[in-house]
Amino acid sequence: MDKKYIYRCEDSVEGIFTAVYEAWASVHRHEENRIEVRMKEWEEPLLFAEYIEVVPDEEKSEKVQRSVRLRVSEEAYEMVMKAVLSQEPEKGEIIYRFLIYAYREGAQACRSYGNPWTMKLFEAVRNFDNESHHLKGFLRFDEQENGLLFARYAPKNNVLGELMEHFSNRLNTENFMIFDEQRRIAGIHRGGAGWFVYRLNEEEYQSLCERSEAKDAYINLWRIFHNRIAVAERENPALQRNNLPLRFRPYMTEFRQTAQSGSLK
Amino acid sequence: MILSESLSMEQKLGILADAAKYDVACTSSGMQREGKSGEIGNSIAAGICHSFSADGRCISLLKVLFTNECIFDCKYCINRASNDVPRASFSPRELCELTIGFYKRNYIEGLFLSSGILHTPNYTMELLCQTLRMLREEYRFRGYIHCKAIPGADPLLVEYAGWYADRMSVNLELPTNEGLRQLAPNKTRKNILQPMRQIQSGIAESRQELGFMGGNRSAYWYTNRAAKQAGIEERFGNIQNVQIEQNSSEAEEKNGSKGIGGQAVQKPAEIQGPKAEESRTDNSLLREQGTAEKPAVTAVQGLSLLKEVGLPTGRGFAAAGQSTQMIIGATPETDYQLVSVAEALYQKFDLKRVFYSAFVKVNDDANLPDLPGGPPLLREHRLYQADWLMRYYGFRAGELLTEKRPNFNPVLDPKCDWAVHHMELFPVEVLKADYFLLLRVPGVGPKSAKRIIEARRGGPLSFEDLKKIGVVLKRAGYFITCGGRTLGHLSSNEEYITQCLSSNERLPKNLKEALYGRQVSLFEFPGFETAAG
Repeated sequence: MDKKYIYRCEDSVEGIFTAVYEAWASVHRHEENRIEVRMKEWEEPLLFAEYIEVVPDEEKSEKVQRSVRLRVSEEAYEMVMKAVLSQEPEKGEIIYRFLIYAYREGAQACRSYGNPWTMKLFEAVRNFDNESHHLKGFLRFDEQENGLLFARYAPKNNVLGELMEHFSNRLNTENFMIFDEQRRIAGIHRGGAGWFVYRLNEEEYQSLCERSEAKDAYINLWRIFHNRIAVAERENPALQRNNLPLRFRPYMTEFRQTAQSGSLK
Repeated sequence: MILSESLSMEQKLGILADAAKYDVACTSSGMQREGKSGEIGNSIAAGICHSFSADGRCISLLKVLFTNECIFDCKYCINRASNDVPRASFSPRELCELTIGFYKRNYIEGLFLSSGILHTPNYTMELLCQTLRMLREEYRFRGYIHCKAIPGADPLLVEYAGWYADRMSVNLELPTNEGLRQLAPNKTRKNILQPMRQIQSGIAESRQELGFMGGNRSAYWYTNRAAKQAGIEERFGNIQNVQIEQNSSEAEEKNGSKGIGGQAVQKPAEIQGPKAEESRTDNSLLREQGTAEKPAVTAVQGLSLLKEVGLPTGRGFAAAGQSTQMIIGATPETDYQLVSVAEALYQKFDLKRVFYSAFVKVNDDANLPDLPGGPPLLREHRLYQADWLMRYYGFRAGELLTEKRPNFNPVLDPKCDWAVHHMELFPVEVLKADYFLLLRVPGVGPKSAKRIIEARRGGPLSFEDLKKIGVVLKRAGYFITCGGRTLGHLSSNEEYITQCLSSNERLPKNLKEALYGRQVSLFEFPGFETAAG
């Protein structure tokens, strides 16, 4: 068995692109390299492998990103960025292999679904896009007493950036916060200003988790509407579940239990 | 009757949502509009579903009636004048507050405003206009608005609403004049088609004056244009309609006004014009009875307010287009009549969407049919499938059904049904076929057809690739070759394929068993299990 060189990186934009940079710049052949992203835990170590810990490096990450945009295409860049934020555990390896192929084939690589790495990249991106689109509809804000609109959720893919972009365009005058309890991050938008993503410390995380349901009169109005708009003669819970998977519901005003405390998962 | 003044907001909303629930069009699509600093809302062209109700239908908009008071007495409607139901009305301000409150919390994409008729059509339409204007101008709302035109309202009021709404609709309700006369005695064909024609002209004019912002074209229009360029008519069978269409467009030019006819359709004798028996180019389907020589609606003025008063042009006039809805199963029309009417509406009125609403019997009335099996949901489903085939696949109504075969097959979707009757066109080689031929393959949709074409430029594809691209192999498998290979043993036996395909359909279990008596195994197909997964 050939020796493998495995680049282990953290699950972040910088981490993954730095790993691509390091693998590319190494003296080894592409076939000998592998990129492993730390999702929840590291994979079981391989026997005949050398492990290289990748230290995220802003400059290297930037270089890779710039090069993808220039030498492949904007479309490829967008796909790779979404794959980075996706839930796909093999994403490091997929991006690396796809880029090797794309540097050879050019912009056409994005649509060459016959290539296994293009296909895997495409699937990761599609999964990301689908969830992001769902959540643009399914995310719910409660209005807090100070007027802040507060949403919490636990997406499979890290779609926070997409959602912040969407809602800051839509609700540009509002103060709002989207809390990802899975990743312990929050997107924060100030009315009339921009948005940013904030990593929560333990104390902040706990306090957001324990927040009880806001005293917001619209909550009840929405539940009434949701209930009354259904046609009893057409009741169809299977179709409803198909269209609105159960995993979203603990976070949605019209479905969730009134006591909202602790992690909803 | 309960006076609305004494009702709480919760009660009003309950009553007016309940009263609006039978209207089906809850889409928020067709409008792309960015947010603007200091204002609230934007709009996404693809539309966004915010929730799904217990019946499995999408909730995208705050769909309510302004009031469920009504002077009309339509037999099928829960809000008809003769019903003793709790009545309520919003005020324009209440409705604005509610819309903005829901929108901020991301419950909805916008407002779908319809109404019963309070006092007069004009009085009601004015209230709707007031509400929309307040929402746009005072609350600076940039989200989606769908507004109904009230039949019989003054054209100026309809136009006024169109300047504030993204989408307008007038419900056709019943596909034939006869049905309308029987079940909706206060509505006339003219009162429905007139505003529909007006909105169409308005959109066309707005597009001309304001460019793309003034309104984009429908999926039907784009598909139809591309299909014509691809010569689809010659390739997929000689459909009578082609000839008819040419004739009627000649007729239009002579008349100097657009005809509003549908395709030749076998109708009950009493709703055909006097000449219909002789002439297959009759297009009286959407005409007033007994006026077969001239259309019910002649050309109407377009946008008078734009020119005279200079109303806000920041949005265009109903730029997300126009839709309508028909009730299915309250009157005895065939599916063929329904799809033909829909096709005529797409062709002659440039509608964005036609919606179909399975009739729910809410009133006890001798004029209404009994539906022991509940609302005809499967039929509604088939009509939507056919509608999709016309809008995105380039199918014509006359390909899907005919006078001789006027109703959809309950066990096969319309596309599979079409395919098994055209086995001479199959198998299709997916690595070579053009877009519209790929679209004819069951299990291949517009997205997967486009992806196949893009992907095969980069090299050959396998069945596994097709599956990942989104092709549904358990349907397509019977109709394609991929690089000369088949997915097992191909048969051209219509009956065999029909059985295999229909056993795949997600039909209600009882229906399936009643039709077959036994389950047909799909896996009689060698090599199929692994590929179809």
